[in-house]
Amino acid sequence: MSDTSTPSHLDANALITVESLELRARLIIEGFMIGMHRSPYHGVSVEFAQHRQYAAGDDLRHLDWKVFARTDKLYLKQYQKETNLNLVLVIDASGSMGYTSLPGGWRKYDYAASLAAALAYLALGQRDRVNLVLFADGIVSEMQQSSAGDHWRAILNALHVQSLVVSGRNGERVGDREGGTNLSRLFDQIAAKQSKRSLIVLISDLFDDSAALERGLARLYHQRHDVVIFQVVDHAEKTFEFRAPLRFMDLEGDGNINVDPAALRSAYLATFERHCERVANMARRFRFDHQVLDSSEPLGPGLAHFLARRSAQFTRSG
Amino acid sequence: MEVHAQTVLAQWSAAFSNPALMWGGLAAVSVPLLIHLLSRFRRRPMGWGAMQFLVEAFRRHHHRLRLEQLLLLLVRCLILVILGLALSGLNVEVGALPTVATLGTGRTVVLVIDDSLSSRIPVAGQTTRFERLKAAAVSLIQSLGSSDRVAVWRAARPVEAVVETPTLDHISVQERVEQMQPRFSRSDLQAALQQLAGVLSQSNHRGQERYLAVLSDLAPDALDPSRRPRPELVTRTTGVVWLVARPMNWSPNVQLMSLKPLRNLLLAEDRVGSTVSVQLSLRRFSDAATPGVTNIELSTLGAEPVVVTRQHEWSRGERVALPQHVTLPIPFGDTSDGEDPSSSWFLPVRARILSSEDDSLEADNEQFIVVELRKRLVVALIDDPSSSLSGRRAPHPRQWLSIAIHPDVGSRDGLSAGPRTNSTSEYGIQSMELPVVSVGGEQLVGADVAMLLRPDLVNHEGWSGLRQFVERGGLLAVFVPPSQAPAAWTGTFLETMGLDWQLGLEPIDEDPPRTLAADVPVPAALDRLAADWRGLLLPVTIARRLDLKIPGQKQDLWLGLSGPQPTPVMASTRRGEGTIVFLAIAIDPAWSNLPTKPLWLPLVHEMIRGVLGRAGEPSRLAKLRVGDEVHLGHRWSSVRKLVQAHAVTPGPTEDVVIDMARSGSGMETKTVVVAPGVYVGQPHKNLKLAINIDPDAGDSRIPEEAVVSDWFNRLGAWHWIEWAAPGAVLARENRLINLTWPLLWLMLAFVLIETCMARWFSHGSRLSS
Repeated sequence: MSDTSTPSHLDANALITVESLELRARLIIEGFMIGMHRSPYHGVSVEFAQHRQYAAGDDLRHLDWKVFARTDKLYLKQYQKETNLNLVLVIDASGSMGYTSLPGGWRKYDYAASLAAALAYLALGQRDRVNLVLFADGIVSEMQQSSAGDHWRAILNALHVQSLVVSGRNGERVGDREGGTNLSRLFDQIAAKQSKRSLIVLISDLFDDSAALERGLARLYHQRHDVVIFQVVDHAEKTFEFRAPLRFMDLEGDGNINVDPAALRSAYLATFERHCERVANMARRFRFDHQVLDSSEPLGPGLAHFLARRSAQFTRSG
Repeated sequence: MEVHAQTVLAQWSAAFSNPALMWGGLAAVSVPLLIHLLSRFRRRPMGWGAMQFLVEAFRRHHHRLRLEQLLLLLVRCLILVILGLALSGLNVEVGALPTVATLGTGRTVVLVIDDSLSSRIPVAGQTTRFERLKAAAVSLIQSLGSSDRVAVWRAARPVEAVVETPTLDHISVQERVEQMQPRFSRSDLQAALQQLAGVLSQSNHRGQERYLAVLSDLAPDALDPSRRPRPELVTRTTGVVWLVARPMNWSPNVQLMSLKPLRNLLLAEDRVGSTVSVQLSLRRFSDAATPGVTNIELSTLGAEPVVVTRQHEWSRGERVALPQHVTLPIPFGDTSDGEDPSSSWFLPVRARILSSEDDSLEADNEQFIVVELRKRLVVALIDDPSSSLSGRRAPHPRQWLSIAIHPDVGSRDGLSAGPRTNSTSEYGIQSMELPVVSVGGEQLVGADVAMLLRPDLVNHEGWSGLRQFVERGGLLAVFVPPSQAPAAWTGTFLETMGLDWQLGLEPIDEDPPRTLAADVPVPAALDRLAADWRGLLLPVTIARRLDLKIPGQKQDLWLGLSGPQPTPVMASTRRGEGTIVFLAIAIDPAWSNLPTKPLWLPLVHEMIRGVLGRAGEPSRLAKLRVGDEVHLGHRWSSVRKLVQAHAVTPGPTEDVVIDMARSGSGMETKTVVVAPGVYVGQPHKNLKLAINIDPDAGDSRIPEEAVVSDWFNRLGAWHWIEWAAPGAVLARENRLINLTWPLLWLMLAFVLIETCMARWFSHGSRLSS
């Protein structure tokens, strides 16, 4: 976030690492864009696939008249159908994403933005349509879906200029969180705008009510969207290795608390791990991908690992 | 309270070599407290995203975290306190060490000081046994450690606490001991030990070391080594360590063992020549058995005292002198009492040893008695006035009694003169006749003796009135009427008087007549007849009688028929303050020749004088001893206080006044009488009584050490208290040790505990995971 002309989200090492991999969808996505994605639909296209014998009721428009002329037999022509991928990048821009345990290091939001930019680059490179949604308590920024060549730069710009919403998802909405309406409403809004099956990538720390998250993911699942969840956490949030007594001030404006971290560490970790496990179980139940990423670690290895897992899963299913 | 606090503070400070460092250590406790408080306000702020998990964890565990913090704070404060104690050089008594761990209580020591009469005996010519015992007690108190508790009891009768609750305030206890004075009463050491054993067994300090220090001269009234300790004393003092004053050397003592009047009640006309006879006994406690001479002075006390001196020359080995009978003239000074024939006055008599060899105790050289003097006694003859005196060959029973009461008149006028009414004999006995039908009323008021000749005619109210008469101190003599008819009245008589005797209804004829048993002991009331007793009994024969049985109480028997077992014919018993005498024969020659024999007249007179002189109250008053509570009969009901009129020579110089309180129909002293002497009733000054020293309390002998050792060996662990250094027996176990190094080790242990606690409470072991 240091240079406006050259977005830092596209870390060179990360892009180089990711460019050697292919983004493959686990499910066959609906679309018409010619690319590297295989389609289960056999229909009108430019690439011939095979012939099959005519059966009563078949569409006569697909008869291969040349074969009929030579052999006096009725065969239909079948083609390999290419599709377009709708990629929706949903990025958390709430106050909690502004935390970093390393002075001058990447905040969780910086990490999430870089990851989103890399994914957008890969998708646009395959001529997929990409949509970007930034949210905190609700949707704070949204771009039109596009596969245009300059769309990637617009995405980068949106990620770059967006400031975090400090009052974020919390603030006066503690009651809302307990009621579990924020993420649920967010996914309702996103799903309402997707007319086709899409690949929705959620990049967030998911420090939210798990029940609300579950309701939102259920909505996406029932609309048969494919969802990939990247849960970005700071290393200190995972380990809580503080020693001196501290006054913890909520980045989302919910007050502060005096704590002896060493004394409370085990209790905190138990609570944190329970939440993460709950999210993982939720993703497993909906057959969504879920990956916990440490913001202090390099972006590339984690992303490569994720894409490798998707590739292996795609191969098994194909 | 403030003095006590200062004493405790001073004792605390004395336990430290360097008290300032101890206070410094206590002050240093404020450091962790300040750090704890400041750390709550000085914390580095830090932005945090995952606040929801932190808040949830904090809400679940903040009670435990607070407790852990306080525990850590406590341990840190303890470390500083222990460091301060270690550096200040804390010195603790070895004996108190086990209790330091239980918040600083030490041994419990109870001192029993025997302040009885024998403790007044001088030792080595300079001091007394009591002063020596008191000095030993002070030495023991001074040797106690600051955490030891001490209580003090006194063993002379009545046993009471000087300092009841064991206390740490040794200074005030020592002051109380130094103010103690010996008493005149006998030792009640056994009761004191019994009482203290109960106190110690129920004490709150049972877990501590308990000591019972017996500071006694161990004279025979305090300890009888021939009797084993009571089992409950052994049981209750299990775990108690006994400390016993080593027996002292003893010196011989001569004492006036007893002074008794021959009669407690004297009939004395207001005339020159009346005398009072007393009997005195001397005793000496000496193993040397050296002969010597003891000079005694007897005197009546009053307006015109009469002094008589006697001398006793001790023979070699003589311990108890034969009683001496001394007759003193009665001084009739201001004793005029008007015309009341039954009025009495009291003559105090004192006997004291003027000089004697081998006498170590002065207080037991003096005895007092008070003799009641009466101008005359009133005898009521209760009979049926309608019974005819004429027409009988033999005199009427009333006549036989009148002859016995008024022999002087009888000798002049003979039997034919008939009964005398309201006449007084030369012997000071006035008789009056009362009809039997009115006996239940007020007619008996003023009478000393009631002689009932017709019990068969007494109604229920009459018996109740007679019972009341007896209980108030009267003498009731009941005679069988000379009738052959069944004696139906006997049941009512026995029941009303509450007698457990058995009395037959039909007269029993003895054929041939039987004689009286001469081997029956002389009744105490008739002891003046002892010399002629056998000769007086022999001529008497019994021809007819009512069958009388007295279960088990041989002392009630006066006269009995001869035989293997004497058959009772005459008996007496006490009821209340008075006496009942019953003669199972009629005063008639057909029944017995008793009225015609020489026994009859002295029997009637001694019955009247002897029984009245030994009735309940006179008998009880003659035995009053120092240390007793005094209970007095109804005649003392107007007395509000007793004032000491004559004291034993070494007694208190100020007036002794004892308040009285009402008790039933009589009075009793509100406090125990502790000073011997003659006491005069106030405001009714005519009533006097004497309270004497128990002569057994003057026994100066002391048992051998071996005998005492055997006795205390049966009680458990015990040690001698040595006269050279009495406190050493406690101080030996009172050695001080310095606790600097143990405290430093203890502090190190607490440092390790603090480290472990801090690491565990902070879950530091998991930081590396």
